Amino acid sequence: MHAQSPTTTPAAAASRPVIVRCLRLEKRYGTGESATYALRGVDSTIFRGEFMAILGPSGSGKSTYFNMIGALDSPTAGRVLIDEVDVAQLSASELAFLRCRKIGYIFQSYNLIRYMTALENVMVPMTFAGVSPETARRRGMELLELVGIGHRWQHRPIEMSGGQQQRVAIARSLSNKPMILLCDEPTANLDFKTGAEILEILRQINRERGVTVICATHDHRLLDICDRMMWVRDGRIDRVDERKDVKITVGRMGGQE
Amino acid sequence: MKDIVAREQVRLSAWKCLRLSLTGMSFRLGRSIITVSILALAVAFLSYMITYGLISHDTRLAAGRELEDERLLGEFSTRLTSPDSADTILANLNSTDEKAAARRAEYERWSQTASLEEILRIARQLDAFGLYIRQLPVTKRAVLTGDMEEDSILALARSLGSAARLDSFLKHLNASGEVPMPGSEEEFRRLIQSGVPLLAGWIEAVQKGQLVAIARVQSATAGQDIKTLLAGSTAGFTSTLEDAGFHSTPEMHTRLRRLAQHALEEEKLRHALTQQEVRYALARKSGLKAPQIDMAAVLPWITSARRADDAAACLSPAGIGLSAAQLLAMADRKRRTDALRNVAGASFSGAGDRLSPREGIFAFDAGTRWLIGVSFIVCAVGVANAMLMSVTERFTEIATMKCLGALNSFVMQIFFFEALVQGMVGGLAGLILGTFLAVVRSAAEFGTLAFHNIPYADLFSGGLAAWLVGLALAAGAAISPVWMAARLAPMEAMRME
Ligand SMILES: Nc1ncnc2c1ncn2[C@@H]1O[C@H](COP(=O)(O)OP(=O)(O)OP(=O)(O)O)[C@@H](O)[C@H]1O
Ligand SMILES: [Mg+2]
Repeated sequence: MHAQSPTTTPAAAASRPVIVRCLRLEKRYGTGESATYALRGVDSTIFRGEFMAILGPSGSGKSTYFNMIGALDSPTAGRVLIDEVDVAQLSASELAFLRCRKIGYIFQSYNLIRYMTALENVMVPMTFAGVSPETARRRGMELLELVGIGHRWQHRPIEMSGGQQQRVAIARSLSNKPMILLCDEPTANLDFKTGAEILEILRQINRERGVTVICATHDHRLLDICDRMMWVRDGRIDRVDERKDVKITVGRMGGQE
Repeated sequence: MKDIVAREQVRLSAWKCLRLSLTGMSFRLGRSIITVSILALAVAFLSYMITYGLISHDTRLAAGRELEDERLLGEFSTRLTSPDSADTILANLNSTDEKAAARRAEYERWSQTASLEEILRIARQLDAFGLYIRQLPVTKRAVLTGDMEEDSILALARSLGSAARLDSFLKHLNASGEVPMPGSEEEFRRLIQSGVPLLAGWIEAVQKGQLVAIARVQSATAGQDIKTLLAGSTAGFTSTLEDAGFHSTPEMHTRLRRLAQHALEEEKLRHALTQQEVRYALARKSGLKAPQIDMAAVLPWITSARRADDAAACLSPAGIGLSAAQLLAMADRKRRTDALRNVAGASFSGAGDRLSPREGIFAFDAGTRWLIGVSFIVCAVGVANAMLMSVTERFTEIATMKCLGALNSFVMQIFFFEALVQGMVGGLAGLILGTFLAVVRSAAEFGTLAFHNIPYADLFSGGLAAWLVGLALAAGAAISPVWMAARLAPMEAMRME
């Protein structure tokens, strides 16, 4: 279980608790001729409380990886361990518990429930967790205020712009105070200023509450906030960098923009 | 420090699930209304078929009975003039209806048999043999029965009386390789050789007894016309009939008297219409052509008291003493009989089956059952389609809910409740629509007759059945795809669409 993954230095592995670990993770979509390998043997380690950025070109397998470590899809081969427990060993009820309270998800395509208002969408995970409607409503409003669309609480997804929907999705992901926050391109549809605000929220959550944030992105501002960055290419992890080591790299990439 | 995993997710109460699914439905009201309407149409179709089937069946049956009642006079007169035929007697021995029971009591008296048990047993055996012969293929039957009249099983059985014929018959039967005969060959031989002669002897005794009875009635009434006697129906005549052994009840006599009076009135009218001056007078009044004037033309023309007065005036030279009121009543009776005949002859399924009383709500004739079966399938397809459509477009929603920590049981419950509510509302709407249409059609087809014999209890159970069928189908059709989606990992469900 503690097999050395190539992306972890022995010193780091020994010193810090691991929260998500992947072992030889593979994911194939389809079968036979049309089979596509989205992940081809990924070993990764994410430490408790860190801010991990996942970077890579489109189609490299970021969303697939995200679904695997979020226990939302079953891998073709390999294992996912959350807090050193193999996700495949969990019962349906335990999985639901995990998804409901311990992990917050911000999906690339938001996945809001169409017929619910912004507030109701935010309240869904709290309802599943058995939180009383009054508390859920109050907390939901607070979270909507936090992401800056408190005044829009009565609107349905179709009545909102992409960016507004994304902010509802962010508020929803925080509703049960998760230990892990999984974000798939949380700033993709936001203007520069709002994007910065959202990144600031993510940073705060990470620094102040100690929530582990795993964030797939193309937004290079994130590189300033994150602790480490994982480069994904063709379903494999290219390399993992500590941010302090790549200060220069960021500058160079920023120059390219 | 492990503080993430390994606890059970809370279960939401059914009440909470119901509330959530009601909120969901009210948000998607437009879509729900479409689903509910399709459900309503499907259930309407089924309940229409059941309701119309029930009303038309019972109306036609009642019409048939009423018509049969009219034949009572003819039947009774026949029995007072000539003995029943051997086949009629045999049929009455095997029939279970009330009339046949009355006949059997008469036979018992006329034949002076202490117990009918043995005779009834033979009759039953013979009946079974007849059924067997009738289900054989035509060619087989021709070989077996030769030139015998196969309608009369008694005649056939009697023709096998000689040992040679019986042997050859059995040989043919065994060689034919058809379904084996009921009972053993031994039993059959016994039936033909001793049973049938016994039965035939008994039947002859009955017929002789009936002839004696007829003679007694005739001598007592000094050869008066039976219809006239019945129309008068004196206590003396009633007791004469009873003494001769004819089964009768006071109720039957009242009916017979009424029928006989009607028949006499009709005879008078028919007679009057043969006279030239009456015909011309009526032709002038009614605008019909003189050669056309007969009962069938005149009675339909008498539609009002005014016309009845005119007709009575025209008929007065004939001196038959029919009043306007009598004429109008006669015309009304004829109209009713015609209507009954139309209704009784009309066939829902077009199969022209003989109607028999229903036992329960679905025990219709074969044709109607078939139609209801088809409408059930139409209903099932409609409901399943509506529910499948409304569920499959929501796989993303199911997947999202699972991503956010919904238990399978929760997903199942809210979809189940939704299907249930939709099924109940749609089913109810469909039930009202279907019943309404069925009543309208029955009224159009059978007129007021339709409302004399409404089987309320059965209509209620039929409606309830249609409603429950809609409900069960809706729930089933919604739940099976949801179960498929809910079982999967969330992202697999997301990809299912
Ligand atoms: N349902 C699917 N069926 C077949 N192939 C799939 C499916 N989902 C993803 N893929 C393939 O898997 C690979 C990885 O997809 P993934 O969505 O993980 O990429 P990504 O890194 O998230 O891309 P993006 O940055 O555009 O979001 C791609 O080649 C994609 O075509
Ligand atoms: Mg992606």
